Amino acid sequence: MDRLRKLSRPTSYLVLLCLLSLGSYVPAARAAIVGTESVAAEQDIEIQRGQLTRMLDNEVVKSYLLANGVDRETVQSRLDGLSDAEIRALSERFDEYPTGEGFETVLILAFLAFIALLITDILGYTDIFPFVKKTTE
Amino acid sequence: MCLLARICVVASALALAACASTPQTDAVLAMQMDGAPSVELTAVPFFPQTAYQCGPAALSTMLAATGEEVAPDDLVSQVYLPGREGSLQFELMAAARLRGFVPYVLAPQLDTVLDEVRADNPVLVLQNLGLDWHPQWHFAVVVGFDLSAGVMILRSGEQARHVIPLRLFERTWERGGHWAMVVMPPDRLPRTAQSRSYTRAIVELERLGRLREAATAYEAALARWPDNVVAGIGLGNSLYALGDLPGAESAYRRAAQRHPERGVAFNNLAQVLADRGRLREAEEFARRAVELGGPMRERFEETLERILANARRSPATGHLRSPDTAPVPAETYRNT
Repeated sequence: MDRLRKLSRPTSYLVLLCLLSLGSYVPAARAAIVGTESVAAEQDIEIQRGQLTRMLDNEVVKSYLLANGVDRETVQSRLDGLSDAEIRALSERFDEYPTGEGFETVLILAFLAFIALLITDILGYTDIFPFVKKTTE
Repeated sequence: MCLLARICVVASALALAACASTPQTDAVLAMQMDGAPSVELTAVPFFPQTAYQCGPAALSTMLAATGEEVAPDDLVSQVYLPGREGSLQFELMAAARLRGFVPYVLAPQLDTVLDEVRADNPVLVLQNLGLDWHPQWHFAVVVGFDLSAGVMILRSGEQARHVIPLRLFERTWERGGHWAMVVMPPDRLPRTAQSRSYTRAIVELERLGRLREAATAYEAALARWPDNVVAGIGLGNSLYALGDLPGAESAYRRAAQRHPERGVAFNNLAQVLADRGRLREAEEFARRAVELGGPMRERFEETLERILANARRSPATGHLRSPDTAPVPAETYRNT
């Protein structure tokens, strides 16, 4: 995972270079209509991001998603749906974000951990075991 | 140390930890909150989760509560990460946007969650059901509470009605950073929505090209916050991108009235008037924008030049529309 992360920035730059050389990034003549994002950016300095940053962040997060088993067909739409701030956060700290899984499947716990959680459930500090009645306090 | 001793040490440490404070619950129970002391959104459907897929199940629940029927299986390809055997909270938001809804992260306060439930909005929450050193992350949906009994009611995992003490809820929720979100259909606002952050959330919908929904959401935002400039311009921009020039003109006029000190409203109004062939009026507003200046002054000057060039080309009627003033697709806004 670390190796992947180290590779992802240089790879992104390479991809970007290729895109630029293909000329697909020629900016269109600027639209006269000032976009809503520009108006919002005036209010919030942190919203001042560039298209370039978004493209780079996209590549980083894309590699994480693909590495975690997402289909090539769906990865682009998953990226599109994320805001610039969310993509930024994921590109920097992907592994730190929790993934909600649920709790009803096989828990491979050391015996001590199992007992610990049983006790904390009874004490009302955790909510792991459905068979432990969660009475009100 | 023998096993029994180890268990005792752990148990006592955990007992102390279990007395960890729950300040938000204390505050809620102590003060007289406005609003109903107990609510249950019984109409919210239940989708039992399958292995590891509380994300899809929770999101289905939220969407179904608004009338959008989507089975959890159909969300798996959008929100499930096989390599992590779970779902990222951001991807739940992305999936909601791609379906034309506005996901909105709430303030990290228990009373905020209760207020939303009182307003008939279920709340999707991230919980760590385990311990800090052995987390068990989970998504569930809050559908009710009872303050006199001190409980929270959730659709959670395989339990349609998971009733837990408020304190327990707070502890599991606190470990996840008090993260909670609502998923709004375009025409409704969360009860606790903040003007700036909610309009930012609508901008994401516009960015994705969900223009009809964005326009509806901006209208709803303007009904609550008539002075919100992002909503005012956003409405005009969404209608413009949809090709609804009369609607866009009317929206920009409203924005210009509300914000006569902002060049952007006049600039965009000038553009749509030019598109509709009313070059003299367009020129007047374009000039006003340039006069007001500001950081986008250069853009306003470009607009004015283009309008003047058009006027020169056909002085009599001013009906000529040059290609680069045609309504632009929403993606182009990313250039601006």
